[in-house]
Amino acid sequence: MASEQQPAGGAQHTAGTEQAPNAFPPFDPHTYPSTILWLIVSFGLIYLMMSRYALPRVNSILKTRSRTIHDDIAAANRLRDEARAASAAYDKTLKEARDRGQQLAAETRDKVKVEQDNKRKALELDLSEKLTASERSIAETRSAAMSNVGQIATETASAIVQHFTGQPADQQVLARALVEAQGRSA
Amino acid sequence: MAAGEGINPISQFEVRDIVPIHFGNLNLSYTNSALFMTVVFLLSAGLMLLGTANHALVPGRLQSAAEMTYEFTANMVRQTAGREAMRFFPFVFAIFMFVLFSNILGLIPYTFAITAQIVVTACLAILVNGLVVVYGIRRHGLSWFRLFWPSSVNIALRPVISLIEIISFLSRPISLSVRLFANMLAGHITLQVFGAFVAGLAAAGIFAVLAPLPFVMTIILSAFELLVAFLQAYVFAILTCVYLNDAIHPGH
Repeated sequence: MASEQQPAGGAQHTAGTEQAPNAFPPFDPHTYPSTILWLIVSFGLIYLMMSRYALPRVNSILKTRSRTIHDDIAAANRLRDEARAASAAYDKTLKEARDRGQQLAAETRDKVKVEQDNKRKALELDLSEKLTASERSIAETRSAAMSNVGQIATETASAIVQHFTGQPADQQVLARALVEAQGRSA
Repeated sequence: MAAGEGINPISQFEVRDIVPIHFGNLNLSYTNSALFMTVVFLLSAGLMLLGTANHALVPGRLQSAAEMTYEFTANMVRQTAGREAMRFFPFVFAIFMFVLFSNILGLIPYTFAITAQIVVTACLAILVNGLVVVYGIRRHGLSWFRLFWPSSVNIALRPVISLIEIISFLSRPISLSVRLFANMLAGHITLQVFGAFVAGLAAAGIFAVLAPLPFVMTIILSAFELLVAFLQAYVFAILTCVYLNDAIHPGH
């Protein structure tokens, strides 16, 4: 059918004019085989290109990007956590150092206080010993002086008795009287 | 003037041979239609392969466009037909790319609108619906036909509903193909008619002062047609997903 009419419209080499020249072109069935063939070819090529090359490539790009973003965010979070841990460790170290410093100061203060106390006690002891020694020597000196006074009193009393009676005094009576007198005055 | 080649609003849809190829009675010539299909292939390759050639972590303009198209279509498939339908993602993506680039390319003056050919849209619609039937039966066996026998409906009403379901299923390829074809055809005819008004008025002496009016209209319509070009590609792709959903989940 087409070959019969082809000489009529063959001058224009137009698929559409093979039938009637005034046919509505989209409804001209003579153009269909060629259009269908090239549609299959071009659509097939587009489908193959998309399914084999383009879409897997875009997919891998999108996956790589989302993985990169995910990894970067994870790394940032990890670094932030590390920074927080370091900050906490620093704070802890600082607190420990301060505590140790205070402890050391308190210990030193206590030690110095104890030393001073010891020294003061030793000094007080020393002083009280010296005081006691002085008191004892004073007492000795006084008792020695008192015994000298007793001898002087004996000699004086015997001299007085001899002078009054003219004869030497009885030493025993004299000594007893002196002791009595001493006991009265003491 | 009205008989001129550029003013006839229908001549833009003529399929002309560029490289004649004949097998007996079969005319398989490389036509202007085939040429623009090749351009569509090259454009989609340019977007999806050249755009992503750098594998850049921080995408450039073209790579952003490629990634956006990818995610847009992937979300469409996932939300409309479920996660299982991702095995059809390359198919839906190819359909979307082909229709979108065909529609937009056809808007450039002196180009050929591939999707304003009913045979092209019909082939795509038959491909989609054929895939739905073949995959549905291969996956669910004969129980896939329960799609037309909804068990949730009252038994008295079920034959009526079943009839409606069958008719609506059979009319799907027609509605899918005619919707795209008619939108593109009407848009291109309208643009051409208003363009012809501009030329006609400009050549009509004193009436030339009115020529800017259809010119402004042509500008507005061009913007509108750009919207339609994208919208129809989106509608075609999302309906493909909806139909594929029937093949994967026939139980509604």
